[in-house]
Amino acid sequence: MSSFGKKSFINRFCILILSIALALPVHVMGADAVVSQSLSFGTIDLNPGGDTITISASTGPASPLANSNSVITGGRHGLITVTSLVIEHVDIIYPVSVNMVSGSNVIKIISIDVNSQYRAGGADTLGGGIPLTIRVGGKIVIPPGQANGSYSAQIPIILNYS
Amino acid sequence: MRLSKSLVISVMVLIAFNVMVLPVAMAGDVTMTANATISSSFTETVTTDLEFGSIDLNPGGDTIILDASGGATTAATIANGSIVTGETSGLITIEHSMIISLWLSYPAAAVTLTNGTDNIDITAGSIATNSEYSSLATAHTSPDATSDITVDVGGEIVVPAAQPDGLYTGTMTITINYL
Repeated sequence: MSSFGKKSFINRFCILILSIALALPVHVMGADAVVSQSLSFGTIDLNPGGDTITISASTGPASPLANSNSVITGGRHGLITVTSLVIEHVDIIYPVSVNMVSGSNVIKIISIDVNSQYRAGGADTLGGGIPLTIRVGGKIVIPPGQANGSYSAQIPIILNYS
Repeated sequence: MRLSKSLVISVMVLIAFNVMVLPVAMAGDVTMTANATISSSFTETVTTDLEFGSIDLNPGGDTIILDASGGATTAATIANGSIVTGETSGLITIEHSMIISLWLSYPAAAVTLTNGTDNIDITAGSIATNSEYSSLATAHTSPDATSDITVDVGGEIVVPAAQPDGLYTGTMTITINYL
């Protein structure tokens, strides 16, 4: 092999190695997502006939509303804050339902997606370290005779960046 | 030197190529706490028992009716002239803090009152007939969020001739249905 041929081979080999190395993920997820506010349905003085409580946060901040006159104190939408240096697209996947429990008693949270932001189409982060806020709501259907108590749950929310 | 320039240019092209065509989707999960506190404040209390009173019975027997379907009463309807004193309809009081709607299910069967040996029945179906809000069609909605709801309860007893003297008591279950 001539000197020129050796150099050409080395050149191509180096390019190959670098190409492989660069083919590794170059999209580094720079976004930082944190839960900055929990989802709270408040303290509910329940209508003895039961009630449906909805936090409709799909278009912005929301408080719990009762369908059948239960008296609600406090409560608010949940909040996720996503911060990134560059603009990234994020798709958000909410669970279909989540059980809140108090001992052996259960209240199911449903309709999380329709009552939350960016369920369809996702959102673009703002970049530049500017926070994007994602409000989370939901609905609970409380039957007559639901036991008093403090109910809680953990809602897993998936953020897919692309 | 020419080789190095070529290498650098190639690498730059590859970097651009990789950046443009090899985006990688990445996932990040968050877990959000959700909570609610249920604290029902309404109460249901039997404020006054249903009392058919002291009956100085007509020897031929009698029918005593306490009709509370339109509200509380302390005056029985007496079919055969027995002398009755101290009678009063029963009263259920419901405290609440919101506007609520309800109706009540009264015993359909006869309710037996006994002195331990002998019995008198509250006639089957008569409690619903002589009490308030006894069907879905007559459901009651509280006029405001805080005023107590009161439910007056009546009934009918048929006392046969020669019913032994004594204090007759019994209990019954009334179900309050909230809408």
